[in-house]
Amino acid sequence: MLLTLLNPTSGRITVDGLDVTKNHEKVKKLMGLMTQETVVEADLTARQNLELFAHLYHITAEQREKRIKEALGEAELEKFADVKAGTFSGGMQRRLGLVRAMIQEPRILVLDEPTTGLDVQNRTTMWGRIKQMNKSGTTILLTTQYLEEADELCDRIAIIDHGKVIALGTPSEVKRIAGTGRVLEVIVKPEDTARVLSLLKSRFGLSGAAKGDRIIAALEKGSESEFTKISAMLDREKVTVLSIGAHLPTLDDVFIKLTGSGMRDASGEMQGGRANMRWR
Amino acid sequence: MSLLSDSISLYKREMLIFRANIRSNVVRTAIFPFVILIFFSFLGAAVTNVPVAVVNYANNPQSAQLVDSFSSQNLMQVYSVTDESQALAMLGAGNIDFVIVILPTFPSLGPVPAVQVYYNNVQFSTTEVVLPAIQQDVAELSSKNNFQSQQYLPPSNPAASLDTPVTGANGDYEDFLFSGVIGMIIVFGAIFSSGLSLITDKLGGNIKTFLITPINKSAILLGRVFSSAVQSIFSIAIVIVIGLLLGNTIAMGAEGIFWILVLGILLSVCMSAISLIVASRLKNLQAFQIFGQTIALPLWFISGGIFPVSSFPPVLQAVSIFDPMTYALNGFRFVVLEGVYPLASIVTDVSVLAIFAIVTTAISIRMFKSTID
Repeated sequence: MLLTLLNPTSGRITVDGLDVTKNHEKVKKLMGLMTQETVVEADLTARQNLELFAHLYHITAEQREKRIKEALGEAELEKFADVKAGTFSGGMQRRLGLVRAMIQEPRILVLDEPTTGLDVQNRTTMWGRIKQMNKSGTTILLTTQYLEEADELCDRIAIIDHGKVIALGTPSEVKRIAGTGRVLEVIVKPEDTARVLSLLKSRFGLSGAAKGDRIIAALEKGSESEFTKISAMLDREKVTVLSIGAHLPTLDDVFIKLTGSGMRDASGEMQGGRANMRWR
Repeated sequence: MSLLSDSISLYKREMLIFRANIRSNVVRTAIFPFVILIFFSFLGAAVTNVPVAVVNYANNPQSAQLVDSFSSQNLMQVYSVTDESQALAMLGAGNIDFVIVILPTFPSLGPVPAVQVYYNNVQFSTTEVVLPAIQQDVAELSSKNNFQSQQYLPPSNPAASLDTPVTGANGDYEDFLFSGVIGMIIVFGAIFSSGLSLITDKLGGNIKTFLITPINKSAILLGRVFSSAVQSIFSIAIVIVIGLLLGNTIAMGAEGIFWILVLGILLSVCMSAISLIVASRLKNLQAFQIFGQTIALPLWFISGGIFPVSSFPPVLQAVSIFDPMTYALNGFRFVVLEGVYPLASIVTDVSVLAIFAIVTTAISIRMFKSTID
C-alpha cells in the first residue's frame, strides 16, 4: 500500500507529509523495496541491473555513474559487475537486490524477509548492512519470521495477526507482554505432553502451551520458587523429563502467547501471524 | 517525455534479454520456416498419377501421339473424354485436376493455340509440376507457342474470381507459402516475446519491481511493443535468408524487402499488443501457451497463410477481414509473387494495419493493472 501496489480500502497514508495516492511519483522516489523472493534481472549483468533501475528512478546522468559505482562497492560485486546476475549465488543476488533497492537513496526502505534462506555468514553480513544503513539515516521497515532477527535489529516491533496489530512497542516493551516473570520450558516425550499440561494446570494452575515435545508456561513474578516444586512433582509422577529450565521471556514466547501455538495453514495465514518490525 | 524515456529504458531491458538468449532465439525463428519450406518442396516433387481429361478434337496421328506422350510417364492418369463441356464439368466437380483440349488445328498453330489447358486452383503443387510437363510434350510435337493454359472457374461459384491476385496459382506454391511463413514467424515472435515475457515477469515478481519505481505504467507495455517491433526485423531477415537459400524468390527485389519490413513491423506491433492484452488477464504460463497455440495458428490459416483466402468458404472469407495478418500477407503476396504492389493496396494494407496497431496498443495499456491485488 505504501508503494501503491495495493489500493487502500480506507484511510490515508502520508510519507514525509506527501499523500501516497496523490503524490505517488514523489513518494516512490523516497521509498525502496526488496521483496521476499530475490528478484534480479537474471539475463542482465550486475551493472546493467543497476543501470536499468537508475534510469527507471530518473537519476540524472551525472549522478548515475557515481551511484552505480558506489552500489557495486557496497554489494562487494565490483569483480562481478559484468557477469550475468542469473549466475550469482543466492547471497550475491540478495546483495545486488539490496543495493538496487537503494539506488535512488530512499528515505524509507521496506525489506520483506531479507534473510530468509540465507546461510549464517550471509545473514550476519546482511544484518550488519541493515544496521549500517539505519545508522546513516534510512528508516527501515522489515518483516521477518525470525524473531531473534527482530530482537537484534529493531527499535520498534509490531506483531500482526490476521491483519490486525496485536502488539506494538520496543522489544523490551513487547517482551513484557509475556509477563514479567520467567518462562518455564519443559521438554518431555511427545506422548507425555498432554499429561504434563494437565498436571501443571491442576497442581499449579498454570496454563501452558505445547509445541511438539516442548511445553511452555509463564511463571509470574514472585513465583520463581515454584520451579523447583514443579521439577520435583514431575519426578514424583515418573515423567521422563528430557530438559527443564526457566528463562526470561523471548519474542518467541510473546509470539506464541499472542497468536497461539497451532499451525497456521489456512489460506492467507501461511506466515503464522507474521511479525512486522519497524525501526525508529 | 518521461513516458518515452521510460519506454526506451524498458525497451533496452527487453533487447538485452533478447541478446542474452540470442542463440535460442535464432533457432526458434529459423526452425519453422526451414521445416515448412523444405517439407512442402518435397511434397511438390512427389506428384504422380494426376487425373487429367483429354478431349481430342484433332483426331490425327500427331494428336494421338501427343495423348500417348501424356500417359507415358507416371505423372498423369489420362482419361479420354469426347466432349469439352463434359470434361469441364468433371473439373468443376473436382473429379479431375486438368482438362486438355486438343483443337482440330493441331499440330499447326492457328488463330488460337491448338492445345488449351484448364486447371482448378486447389492443387498448387501439382499445377506447377504438371503444366510445364504438358507444355514440353506439346513443344516436342509442335511448337511451344501452341499451348495455352488458364485457371478454370466453375460457373456455380462466381465468388472465386481471378481478379484477386492472392491466388498463388499463377505463381509457384513454394513462393506462396514463403510469403505466408514470413507472416507466421512475425506473429510467433511477437506473441512469445511480449505476452510470454509479461507473464514470466509477473510470476517472477519483476513487474512488481518496475511498478514501485516512479515510471509511467504504460512504459512497461510500450517498451515491450517497441522491442517486439525491432525483433521482428531480425525474424524477417532470418526467414528471407532461409527462403532465398532454399530457392524462393522475391519478385519485387529490394523494394519488396522494404515493404515486407513496413508491413511486418506493423503486424508485429498488433500481435504484440494482442498478446499483452491476453497476458495481463492471465495468471499462469500454461494458460498463455494454450492461447498462443489456439489463436496464432487459426489467425494464420484464416489470413491465407497456406491456402489462398479466395479458396475459403464465404464465412471464413468474411472472418479474414478482421484478421490483421490478412493485410500483411496480402502485401507480402504482391511483393513476393507479383513483383508489383499497387498503390491502392499499399494504402489499404498499411492504413488498416496501422489502425489495428494503435487500437490494440491502446487497449493493452487500458487493460494492464498497475496494482497487484
